[in-house]
Parts: sequence; structure tokens; C-alpha cells
Amino acid sequence: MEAISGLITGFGVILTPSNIMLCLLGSFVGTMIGVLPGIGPLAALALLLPVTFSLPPVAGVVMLAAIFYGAMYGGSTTSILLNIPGEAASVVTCRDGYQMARQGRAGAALGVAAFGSFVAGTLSVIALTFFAPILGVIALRFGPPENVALMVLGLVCTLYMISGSTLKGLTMIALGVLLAMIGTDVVSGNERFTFGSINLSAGLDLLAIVIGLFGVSEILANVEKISKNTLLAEKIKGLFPTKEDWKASIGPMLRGSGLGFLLGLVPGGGPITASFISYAVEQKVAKDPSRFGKGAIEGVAGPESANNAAVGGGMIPVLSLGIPGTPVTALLLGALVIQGIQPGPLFMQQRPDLFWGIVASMYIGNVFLLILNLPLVGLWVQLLRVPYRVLFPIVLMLSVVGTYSSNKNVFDLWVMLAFGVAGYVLRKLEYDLAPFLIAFVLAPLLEQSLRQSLVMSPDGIMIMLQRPIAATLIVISFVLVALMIRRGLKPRETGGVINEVHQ
Amino acid sequence: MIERLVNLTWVLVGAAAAVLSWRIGLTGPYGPDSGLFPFVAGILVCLGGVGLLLTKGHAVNGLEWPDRAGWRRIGGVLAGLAFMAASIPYLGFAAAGVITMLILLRTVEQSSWVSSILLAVISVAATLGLFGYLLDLQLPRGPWGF
Repeated sequence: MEAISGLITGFGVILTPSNIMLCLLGSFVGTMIGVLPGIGPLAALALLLPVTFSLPPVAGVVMLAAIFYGAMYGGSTTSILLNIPGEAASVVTCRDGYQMARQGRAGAALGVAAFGSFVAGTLSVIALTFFAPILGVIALRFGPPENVALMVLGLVCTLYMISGSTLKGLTMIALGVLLAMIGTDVVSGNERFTFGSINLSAGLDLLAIVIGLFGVSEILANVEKISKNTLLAEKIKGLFPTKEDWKASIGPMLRGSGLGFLLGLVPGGGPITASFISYAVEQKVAKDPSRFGKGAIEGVAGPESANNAAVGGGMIPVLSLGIPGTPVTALLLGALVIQGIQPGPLFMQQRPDLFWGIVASMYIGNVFLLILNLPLVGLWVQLLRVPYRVLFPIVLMLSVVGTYSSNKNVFDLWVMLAFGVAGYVLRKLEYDLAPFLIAFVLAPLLEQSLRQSLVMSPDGIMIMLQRPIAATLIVISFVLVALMIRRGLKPRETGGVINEVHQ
Repeated sequence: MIERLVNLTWVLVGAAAAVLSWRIGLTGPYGPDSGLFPFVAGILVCLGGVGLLLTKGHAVNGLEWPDRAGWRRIGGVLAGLAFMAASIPYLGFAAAGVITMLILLRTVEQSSWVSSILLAVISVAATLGLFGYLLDLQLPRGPWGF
């Protein structure tokens, strides 16, 4: 019942002309960015974050969430029409989606991808609606020790998110903690690593770091090699799936939805893993697996549903616990922090308007996205013809304005530039940058909560084991670390098909 | 070469951070003091760098850097951004933005003067319109009032 009343509150918040317009605008911009190859959801959120600053928190977060799932929707268009994924989770869609387009079935592939995304998106938001209040009840018992345990769990979960070298990922986590310590210590008033600079006394600006690391570095990587793509489809026909298409797709859509939602909940799971596992599952259950890779509609329906369902699933840990499971949700967490909102155990109780507003906006956003993705597909196809060399100066302009507008301090522009260069080099050296961001966001909260816990504890650090929730979370963290060590600290694997698609 | 340099940077940054944190103080009357967290983080960064320096398994195989044209484009983007950061306080956003866009379009993309000027003016005007007027963000103005 709490879920229903919460949802009614959410719709009350969201159903205003301005919020609906922002949700529509976010969905539109998100889809547009998802369609453009080279600017993924992560860079999109980083670059468009400042646009939401002057908006009230509810409106700002609703728009950001819409940009996020819009980008997830839009990513499939380039996969199908250009064989270039708009974002990483659409990599697997290239395999059969592009083959369908080559066989003159681009419309059917785009239609199934859009309907699959809609079905999965809606189902995952329904699950989010009923699952989140359960966590909310537990969250009421949270104090500083539980927060410490939760942050530790968050950092441990980051280990599972690392792609590539684990040692490089661990170094990034430590660097994130270290750089988060720059500035004045709020507890003691001591200055740390400021070297007498007023610009550093408030610490490094999160937005400048995010835009530099994920936005500017992506632009540098893209301008490095600007290539022309061949657009496959001139005119898209038959977007509404036929009876046979539905028959073949409904099973993969439902399986993808369930799988995606569950994997979205798990740290390190997320849309990318969900789409690959869904593809593998569909191939496994298919009567004729040899059709996969040659234009099987199930190979589009399953992964597209799974990656969109994972978005809904991934919202649960980030909104209810403040633990991001993927780089994009880590950035969304950072965005909420910048807006002055601390997602975590008490978020649902302290800001029910915002929490349920976001959930309600996801229902509406899914409908908008279906509308945007089907009738407007011609527009997205035209957009694919805009050369990147025209787009990137505009995107850079947005980065500069966005970074500056946060503190009205030119120093932040230099920080952005430095992190842009660092991000470019580190990407080249195959460092995963998301763990850095998560550590940067979580470290100050962890430090503050730990110090509060120790002040209130006569037994020092033992307080962590004397409180049931904290102790449970610590035990889970230890188990996760032990499992990671048992598998030899190996990085996350997404499946061999990724290499095939890249080739 | 560059990978070793980066690994060495981790070692030096981590070690320097640990030393500075030690000086701040690691523990106080109620437990951790301001220096503890950065000390631990510094040590871990340093150890990470040492580990990466000593093991070969983490190095990137076949690291690809851009060709000459690629470096020119990257250099152009960085030069444009640096110019903008340096000139905004003196020229204001509009003028600095237009000049930066011209640098990017002329040097990076080698577009014609006419199309570069057109695109620069239109995109900066659109950015100003969106942020400065619609979203009411205070963007820095130059000596000529815009």
C-alpha cells in the first residue's frame, strides 16, 4: 500500500506542465545523444548536468533521469543502422540488428528494440515501485555506524564493477579517495593538500572532474580519429512488429526484462552485462541457434529489453542505499549530491516527493520514449548525417559553460582541462575511470560517518559489530572481498561476443 | 614508456600524500584525525603504482596513439579550451567563446572562414540564449557589456 500511496505522491509531483515538459525534453535530448555515436549516456549526463542546475531539485533530477534512459533507448538506432553502438550496452544489438537492416528489415529491428525497451522499462519501474519501500523500512534504522558499513560495502561493490586490470581499478579507487580529501576537513578545520590556495580550500569540484574525465576525454578520443560512417537505411518502413515478430519477440522481451532487472540490482551488473547475458540466454534457448548473428529478431528483442530493465534495477541501490552499481548511476549519484540531495537510506523518508517523483517520471518517460522512438525515427536517421566535427565544438562549449556555472570560478575550467587530459591518457592505458568517481563521491561520507561513529562509541571500532545491520553489511563486504580473492581478483567479463562485435 | 611514467606518478603522488598526511596527524582524542584517510589512500596509491611498475601483466598490449593529424586535432581542442579558460575573465564568455570556436573549427577541422564564423557565432549565441537567458545563469561579461 505504501508503494501505491507513494506513487500517487510521485504522480502529484510530476504531473505539472513544467515537469512533464522537462521529462519530455530530457527523453528527447537523451535519445538524441544515445543516437549519436561517440557520445554515450555517461558523457551526456556529465555534459548536460549543468543545464539542470537552475532547476528545482525535482525537475532537475527528473530531467537527468530522462536523459539517462533516453540515451539507453537511443543507443540501439546506430547499432541497427550503422553497426556502431550509440552506447556500450547496445554493442550486442549490432550483431543481429545490423544484419536485419541489411536484409531490409531495419524497421522491424527498430520497432522491436523500441517495444522491447518500453515493455522492459515499464516492468522494471513497476518492480522498483514495490521493491524500494521494503528497503526504505530497513533504512529507518540507519545511523552513522550503518552508514560506514554501507559505504564500505559500496566501495567493495566497486571492485566488482572494475573492467580491465583489477590493480589499475584499485589504484583508481585509492586515488579517488585521496583527491576527495583535498580541501578543508569539516570536522577539525584542518586544511589538507591545499598548499595555501583558496581555490582548493573547498576541494576539487565534482562537476569539473566529471565533465573533464568523462566529457572532455571522450571528445579527445573521438577527434583523434574522425571517420565517415555509411548509413544503411534511407527510408525506414514497417516499424510496428508483425504478428510473427511479436510471437518471436515476446519471450525474449520478458526474459530480458527479468534478467536485466535482477542484474541491474547487482553491483557491476548493469545494462552492459545484462544485454550480453540476455543474448547468450536467447541463443541457448533458441531452437536454431545458428540463426543468431544473421538477423535473428530474438537477438535484438532480448538484449534491448535487458539493458533497459537494468536501468530500473540499477536505480534501486542508488536511490535506496546510495550505492551506485554502474558508472552511469555513479554519475547520477554525483548529480544528486551536487543538487544538495544525499541519496541513501533516509532519502525515501526525507524526500518522498523527490524519490516518488523520479519513479513516476520513469513511467511517463517510458511512454514518451516509445512515442519519440517510433514516429520520430526519421529525425534520428537525419541526425546521424550531422558530422561529428560540427557537433564537438558545440559540446565543448557546453562543457565550459557547465563547469563554470557551478562555482563561477575559472579555476574549475583548468581542473576540467587537467582531468580531460588525464582521462584521455588513462583511457588509453585501459584504466576504468568509474571506480575513481565512486570513491570520490563516497569517501567524504565514509570518513565523516566513521568519525561520528567513533565519537558515539565507548568501544571504538567494535561498534561496527555491535549493531546488527552494520555487522551484517560488514560481513557481506568481507564475503564479497573473499569471493573476489577466490576468483583471483580477476576483472569483470562481459563475454566473448563483445570482441566479435568490435571486429 | 608513458605507462611507466604514469605508474611512477602514482608512486610519487601516493608517497608525497602519505608524508603530508602524516604531518597533519593520523589520530586524535576520538579516533581518526584529518590525516588518517588521506594517509591510507596515499599508501594505497603508492602501492598500486609499485605493483603496476613491477608486474608486466597489467601493461596495455599494442597501445595505439593517434597519427599526426589526430595529434593536431587533439592539440587544437586543448589549445582552444586553454585559451577559453585563460581569456574568459578578460574577454567575457561571448567573445572568448567565438574565438575558441574559430580556433577549433579553423585549426582542428580546417573549415572555411565563412562557415567557421557562422557556426561559431550561432553556437555561442545559442549557448548564451539557453544558459544566460532561459536558465538565468550568470555568465561572465567582457568590457563591452556582453
